[in-house]
Amino acid sequence: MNDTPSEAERSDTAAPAGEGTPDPRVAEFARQWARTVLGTSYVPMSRPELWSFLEERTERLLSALAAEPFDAGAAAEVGADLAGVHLVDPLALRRTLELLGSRLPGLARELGRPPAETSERTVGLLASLGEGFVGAVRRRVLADQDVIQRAVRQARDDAEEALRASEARFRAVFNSSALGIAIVGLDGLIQDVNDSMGVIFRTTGPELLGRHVLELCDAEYGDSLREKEDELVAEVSERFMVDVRYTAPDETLVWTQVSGALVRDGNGVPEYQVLLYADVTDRHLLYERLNLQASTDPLTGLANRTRLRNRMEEALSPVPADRRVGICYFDLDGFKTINDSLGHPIGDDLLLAVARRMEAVAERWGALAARMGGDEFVLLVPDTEGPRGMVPLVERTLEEIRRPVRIGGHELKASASAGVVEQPVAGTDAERLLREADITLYRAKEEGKAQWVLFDAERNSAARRRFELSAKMPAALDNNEFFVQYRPVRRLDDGGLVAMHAELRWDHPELGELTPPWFVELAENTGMITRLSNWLLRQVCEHAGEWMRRLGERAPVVAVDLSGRYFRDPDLVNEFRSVLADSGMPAERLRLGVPEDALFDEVGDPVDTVEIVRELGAALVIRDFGARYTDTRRLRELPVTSARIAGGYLERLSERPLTDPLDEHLVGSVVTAARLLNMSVVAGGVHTRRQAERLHEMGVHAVQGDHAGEPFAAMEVERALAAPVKGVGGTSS
Amino acid sequence: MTDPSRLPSDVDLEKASAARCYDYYLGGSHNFEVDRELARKVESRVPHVKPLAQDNRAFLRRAVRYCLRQGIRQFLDIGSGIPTVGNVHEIAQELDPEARVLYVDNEPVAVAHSRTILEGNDRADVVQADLADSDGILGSEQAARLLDPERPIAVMMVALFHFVPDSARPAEILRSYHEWMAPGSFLGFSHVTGDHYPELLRSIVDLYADSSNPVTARSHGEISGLLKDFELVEPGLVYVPEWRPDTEEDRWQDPARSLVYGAVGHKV
Repeated sequence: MNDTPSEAERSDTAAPAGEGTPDPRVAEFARQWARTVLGTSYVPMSRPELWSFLEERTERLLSALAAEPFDAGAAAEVGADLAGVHLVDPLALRRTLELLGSRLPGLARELGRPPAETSERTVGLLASLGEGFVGAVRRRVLADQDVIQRAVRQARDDAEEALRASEARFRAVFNSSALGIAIVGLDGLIQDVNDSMGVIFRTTGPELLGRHVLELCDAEYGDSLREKEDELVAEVSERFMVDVRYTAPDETLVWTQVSGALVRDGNGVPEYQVLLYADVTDRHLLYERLNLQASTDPLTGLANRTRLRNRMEEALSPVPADRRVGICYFDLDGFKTINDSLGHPIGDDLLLAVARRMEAVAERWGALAARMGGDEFVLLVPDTEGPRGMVPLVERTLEEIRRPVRIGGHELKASASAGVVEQPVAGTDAERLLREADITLYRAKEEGKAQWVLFDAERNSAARRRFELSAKMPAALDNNEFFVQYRPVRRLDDGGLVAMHAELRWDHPELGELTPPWFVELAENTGMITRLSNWLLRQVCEHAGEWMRRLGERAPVVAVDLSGRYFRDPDLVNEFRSVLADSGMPAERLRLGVPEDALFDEVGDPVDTVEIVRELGAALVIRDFGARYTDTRRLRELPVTSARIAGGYLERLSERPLTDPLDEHLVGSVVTAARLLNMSVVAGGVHTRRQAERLHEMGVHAVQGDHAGEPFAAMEVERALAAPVKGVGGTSS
Repeated sequence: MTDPSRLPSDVDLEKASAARCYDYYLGGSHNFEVDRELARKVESRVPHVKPLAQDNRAFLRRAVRYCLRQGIRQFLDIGSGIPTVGNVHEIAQELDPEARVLYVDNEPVAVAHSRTILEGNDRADVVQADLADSDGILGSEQAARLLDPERPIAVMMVALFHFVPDSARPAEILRSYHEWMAPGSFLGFSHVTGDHYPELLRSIVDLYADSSNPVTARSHGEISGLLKDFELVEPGLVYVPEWRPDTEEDRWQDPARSLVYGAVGHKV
């Protein structure tokens, strides 16, 4: 190494006093020398080491000064040695020459080694030392420069090699990648592509050069790509990823996932973009297929709720302005009967046939046909022009459904009801539209089937209330919101107890206590009546059975009203028998109140239930006696023991100071008719003593209502029996 | 290169390099006009910059010799620069030819230079890496060949950390080396400060701002904080002329004018 201390210095360091302890005057001279040159450049030794080094050089110069013959060459070596220990600064030379020139001859004299021709010799020595120093420094500088230049070249070569290797790696990746790689200018024009780009875009690489990246995606995806790219080039984002579709010239759809990154030059200024294209067509097709499966009704192939919901969101988008939308909600009439009687496979075939026809109609009208589940279907019509336009569509659909269907040897004639809503999209949403259509459908069903009804906000709100009540009824029954209370029925002759009349109530959490007119008809319409009546019958019999066990013969007879539809249910008889058996309640202690109509079938013959009930021993009470005056005759042959009358005309008997003769006549006629039929007459809703007196006079046998006693719970029967008998009829005080 | 995925930094001779300026202050000729230009500017504002640099170099020599006296025979010199005279391997191998030295620098020219002058010396080598990449340095092939992590080592970080800005988390960097060093190891450390001559220091900071190596000066307290994991040998963290001078004559009249604190830390 060129900057390694010289051999001389090295040995010197190892043995600074090799020739014995130097003369103190020489040592002092060397210290002075060291002091003047230190700090001009870095010398890689400690000060004492430098002292030794310079003592040695002083000795050599002294020797040279005195030597015979005179030879200045030793001084040149000393000059080179100085440069060797890195005393290289011109200032070090100047100070050395000054020191030697002024003090070396003096030192030689002091040491007793004065040479002849001292001044000439001194000049000669100094000149040689300068020459040796400069020569060595020059060699050293040249060597240093050579080393540093080589180092720079080496570093550059290394950098270039690394760059070349890096470029080779990049080329290898570029060429062999299955990903499409495009080098794109900041202007969006393609500058370079790899082969995969050609494969992905069904063309060749060179064909793509110079084209704009936006040409590699379909117009509707251009905006999202342009936006992402602009952000990248504007250095708002570092990189992006976006899925776009491209329709190749041969109509092939190519889905690509494009990722972009910005490349900057050495100064950090954006230079170009690198876009990577991954062909994700297969993934997209799979996704679409899965999406279709997930949004298709498996039985009919129609859209399911999911797809309907998605398409409704599109149809309900408020742009463009003033859009309207139509929804038809269909429900097959009596589908349950078909399913129950012919079996589910036939029912499914019927649904499929109906679906095909609906789909055909929907296609012609640009609508979407969807199956909501069960026998419910929906047609969604986007961009309608008013309710009137819906009429031909819905009528055509109903007509198609009514066309007979031949399935496995059966010719089925289905029909459907429909609720239709047609509205501006503004101010509504999918859920609300479907609910309104459903409620409208419900009204269509209520008002008679096989027809359609157009949404009417006001009428729908009443319908909605009923709809909600009927929807909540099953859960209400499970939650024990229904209960039974009793009211005494008392003879007017002596106030004696005839029976306890069971009253069904619904303790509705929001509406409070509801009486049967609120919910019985709803229950009959939805089929809930069977469950509700079974429950009522079972409750009443259990209560009465319990009374029997507790009170024996004192237990009262129990009257309970049954819905007409329930009474005609062929299953009633079985249920009735099982309830009697379970409760231990003798049928003779039971009076069943039924509407007159319920006793007869469509052609006017008594239904079988009547006879069976009589065989079991229960008594029948007509609870709307007189409603169909002219038909009363037909009751003559039936085992009906009593008739109940109720209504406004009874109340008016007491309210007015002077009774309306028509009311008196009506009551009189009804009572007379019942008597002629051998039935006792019970009047309901009797609240006042005056009312009771009037009815007694007119031949009414017993009354119920506030006058006869307050309602009570089954547990409280003893207290009700013990209650003081209110003044009734003529015998009371 | 420790990270093959990274391109080497440009060999940029348009900008002055701190390492080559340092060489100039020491009297070396491993420098270019662009370096000398900056060095002369510094000299015009801080006339004693040459003795200052030489004294820092002398601190390195004394610290290395101190470690050698403590029995250390392996050295890791980070930020070694353009080794002019008095390199660590010269100091160490003069005493014991078997001593091992690994140089580290992040500048490609400095590394190439070291490689040139170390040719044929199988007990010294150089790694191009950044100080912060301790895993890359300590896990390098050269480190595996030259250094024994189980034995005490001297890590030299002379005139280095003032090129590490606070944002690069110098304390964490130092901690990663401390963890790796075997008990009994030493750390040679020096760092410029503006504690007593802020205006002189400011000149240097300003002039170096545009070079490849901007300077962050730190106070005595901040530097002590960086070194808190080490036990500092006598006389602690002091201006470098005060750190175990060879002779009384080597003490400066006003040591604070050296602008550089130095210390040797001991990992117990």
